Amino acid sequence: MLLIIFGLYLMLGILGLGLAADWTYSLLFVQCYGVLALSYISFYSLIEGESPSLVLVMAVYARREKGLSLNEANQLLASEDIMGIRLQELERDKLIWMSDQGYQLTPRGHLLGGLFHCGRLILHLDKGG
Amino acid sequence: MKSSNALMVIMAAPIIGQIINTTFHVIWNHATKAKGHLGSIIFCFLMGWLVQILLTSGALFQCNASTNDWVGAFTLNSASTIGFGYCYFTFVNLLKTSLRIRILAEIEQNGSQGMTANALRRLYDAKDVTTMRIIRLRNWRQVKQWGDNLYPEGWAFLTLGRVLRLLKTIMSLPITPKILT
Repeated sequence: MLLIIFGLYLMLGILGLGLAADWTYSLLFVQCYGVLALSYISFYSLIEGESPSLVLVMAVYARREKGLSLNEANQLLASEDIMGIRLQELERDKLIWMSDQGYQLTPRGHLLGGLFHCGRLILHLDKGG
Repeated sequence: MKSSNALMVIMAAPIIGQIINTTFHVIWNHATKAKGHLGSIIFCFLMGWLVQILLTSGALFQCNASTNDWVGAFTLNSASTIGFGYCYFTFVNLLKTSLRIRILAEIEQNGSQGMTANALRRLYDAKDVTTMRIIRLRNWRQVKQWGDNLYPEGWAFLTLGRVLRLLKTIMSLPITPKILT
């Protein structure tokens, strides 16, 4: 949905700039707009979801000098079925589907998984998570 | 600003800056053990930004640009460079911390056999999620650990958490009640 909204605004912007100024100026604005739109989309997913790291930091800060014990930190995240929530989100976004044997990747999941696999190889990173 | 060559250089400057940023970061990751460290991302981003500023300034000098051109080109290119840098940071951060990307990698590795939810849970239970995050937060100096207790240290994640909570409130998105306690 966000992509459609940004796409429509981009078309309007290109049309307006194309009529008002040189086409090279339009390209300059398209580049800036495109990058900022992508930044907003990735930032929105950060707002929408719940980052376990931020949950931990906020909980530690709430305790201040009393501190948060490791057990409490474990309970804080364990009480949420993080794996279950993430699997639901992946299914909702059509990146995985449930077969008779278990979860399988959809073509979209393969594409995204492949992209991140390449990134991991290039950047020499482990599986993370 | 009349030279179309100068305009093309100005347009390409943020892209070249990002290429420099990525190249430096890849070399850094292969050469050191501190892979994907926050400091390395910031350092490489600043290198890319410096290259972008040099290219933009060179092009503007060459075509005797007016003050308005300088302000316009620097505003646009700085916004583009910061946007590129943020997108790159998000990509690296997802590779390092995203559980969803990890699940995709595990299922892909298992091939056509697929993976059940229980198999995934066994592989990566909630305790691992917590332990890995505490280690990362300690390395990034956002929390400190004395004995079995964690205490606040840095301000960056805390500020980010507060900003996100404010934005969630503005956008009427649900806030996890536990964080409020």
